[in-house]
Amino acid sequence: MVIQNARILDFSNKKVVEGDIEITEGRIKRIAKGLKGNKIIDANGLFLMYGMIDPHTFLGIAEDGVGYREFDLNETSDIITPQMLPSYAIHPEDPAIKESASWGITTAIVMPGFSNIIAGAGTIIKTHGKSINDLFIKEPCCIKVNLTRTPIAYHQKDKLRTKMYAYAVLRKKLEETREYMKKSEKKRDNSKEDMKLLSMVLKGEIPLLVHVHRRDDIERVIALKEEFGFSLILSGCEEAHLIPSLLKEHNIPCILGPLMRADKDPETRNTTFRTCKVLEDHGVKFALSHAQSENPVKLLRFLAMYAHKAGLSKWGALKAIAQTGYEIFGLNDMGNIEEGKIANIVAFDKDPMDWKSKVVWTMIEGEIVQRGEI
Amino acid sequence: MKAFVGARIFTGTEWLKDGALIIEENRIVKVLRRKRLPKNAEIINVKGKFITPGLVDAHSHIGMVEEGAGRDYADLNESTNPTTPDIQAIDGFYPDDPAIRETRASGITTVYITPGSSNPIAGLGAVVKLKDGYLKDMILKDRAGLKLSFGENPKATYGVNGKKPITRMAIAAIIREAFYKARVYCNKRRGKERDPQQEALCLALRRKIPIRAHAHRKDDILTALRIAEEFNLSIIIEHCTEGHLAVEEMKGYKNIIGCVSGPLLYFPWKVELKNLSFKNPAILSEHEFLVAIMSDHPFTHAKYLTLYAAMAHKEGMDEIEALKAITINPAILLGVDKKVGSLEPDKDADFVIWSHHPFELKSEAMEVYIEGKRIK
Repeated sequence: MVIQNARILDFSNKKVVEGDIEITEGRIKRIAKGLKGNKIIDANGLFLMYGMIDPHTFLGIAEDGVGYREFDLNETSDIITPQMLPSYAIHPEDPAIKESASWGITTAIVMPGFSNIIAGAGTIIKTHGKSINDLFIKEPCCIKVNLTRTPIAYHQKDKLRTKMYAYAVLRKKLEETREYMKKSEKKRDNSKEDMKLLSMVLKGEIPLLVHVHRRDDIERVIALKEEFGFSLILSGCEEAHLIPSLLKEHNIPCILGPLMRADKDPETRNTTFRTCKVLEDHGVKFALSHAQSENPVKLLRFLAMYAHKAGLSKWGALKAIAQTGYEIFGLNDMGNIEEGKIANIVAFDKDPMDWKSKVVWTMIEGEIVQRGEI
Repeated sequence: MKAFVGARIFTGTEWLKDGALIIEENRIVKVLRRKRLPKNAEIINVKGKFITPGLVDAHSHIGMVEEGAGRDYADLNESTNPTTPDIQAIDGFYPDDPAIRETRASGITTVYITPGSSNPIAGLGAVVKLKDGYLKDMILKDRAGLKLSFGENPKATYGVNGKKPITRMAIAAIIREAFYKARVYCNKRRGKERDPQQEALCLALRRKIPIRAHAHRKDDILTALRIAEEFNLSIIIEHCTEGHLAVEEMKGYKNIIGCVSGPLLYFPWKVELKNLSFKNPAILSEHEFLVAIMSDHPFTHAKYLTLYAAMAHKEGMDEIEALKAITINPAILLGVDKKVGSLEPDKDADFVIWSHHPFELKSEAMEVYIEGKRIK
């Protein structure tokens, strides 16, 4: 299959290239001019960008329009629940999955919510398919931890009152995991799903994703990483602009946001789109996310536009919604329209950074799955 | 006297390509098509810029949920009693909410603040100018509307705890009973003890103020309209989420003044939000309802009001209609259109000078004026 007459946004070379794209078996095989094939899609001057990724969503577990009582978001029966696997809850018929695809988001990471100190695993999905098997890309891709005051708000009646205790509980669990790992395979209790998952973190097989807001928490979590030697992704990270050098020094990637947040609490009162420019200037890797707060996932592109308005470079903004998210999670065969990558491509009628632009079609793995924004 | 010349000016009904906005002190003198400027005017060249009236947000809780303070400090819902007609949003309004500075710096100069939607009879809202000074000077219209709430929120506040209202039927019953009683009270002239709750309901019964009916689902909208018809109340539908699916039926009710649509860019976490659509204001406006677009701050941030209107435009709403939905239409719905919402002689000199068309995402509110005083 060949897509002809496209204007291709090439993140690596930071330019728009005119040309054709040949796709074989769901991957981009060649990009050149004058390509021919037995199946032709005429892009007719449309802007083609790599499919976007929202690296922090609740798609399928906090479904649109069913009411929060139906949510499978927060397992509030305990404060430490690493063994929560979203693939057992994701409802493929959540309208937000289809809508997100129609707005150009081809990949999403689904994680449990904000209530627990260790919330559970992250699951990478594509936004097209009838069953979880169709949607599934990878699980676990990380273990999510919340070191904000939200777990305290949920559990203050009986389990948790202060952040001191939150840190203590997390450390204890990590120490326990270390002990578990010291045991020989024979002696290990194989029913301990939580230990197995956290072992993957301490062995460096998957990262620990820690949701934090304040700069002091960012510092504390980095100290924890140094002590236990896991690989770390920060999420939320609204005060990252106050300590960009530290993030750079330790090479910590951030999933910023939600930056359009309206309902700011004491921890998030410094939320600003200016953070993006500061991180770009300091060479800190970051992706943008709505974290499915008040705004729906499909509006991811608007985060890039506002970040650009607040000083982030245009290509930096595009990468933050369609490249860095893949990099952070090691999805190396995604993240740019170039030879060898999986053919997740979005066609826009205008420059995607123009607010008037609309998605014309969305392609996932070489197949057009949506035509037009829903 | 000052004359702002060279900009494209949205008057409230149309764009003038190369107009001049003349103000004197805190008032608008006039808007001219051509530059026949008064001789004594100080000329301010704003060539290439865009001028609009100060924007009006028809439904907000700004100042009632202080940004950065946390929900424990909110003065939003008096969820102790389903019937609280006499509570006033202005008594929960904190003028130093940091969100107010950010919001007015984005060109929003007038807002309607209202109690939340936990109570079927929720209380009185007020129209506030986001200007500096004492609270009393900020109030443009006190007791400007009576909020009623239909659907899920009252059920989720009381029903889940086994209290009335558990069902939509009880919500309607509570409201109808209150108006029946108030009707007796209002008609009684002599020897009555003043009752602030009844007085608040009388304002609506005498059509001094409209009811502002929080209703998402089509059936809730129609319930609100039926009750308004029964008691001959003038009614504005708030949110009106499924209004675009009920236009024909809504047209049958003559008491409706208009709809306040939104928050549009919102995650539909409730069942009653499942048909939330960016196309809602476009369809309502095509059917000649008077439409305003709200932020519902802090449910979506008030400072992005232009984005919400821009999205409505992108999804099919006429550009002028979308601009009216954040200027003159809300001013009319709030009953303050003699003062704000458009650039016309003798109105307050509330206006914004934009770097680009206000719907452009890159557009900045470069200068914001409230009553002739530059606040940005």
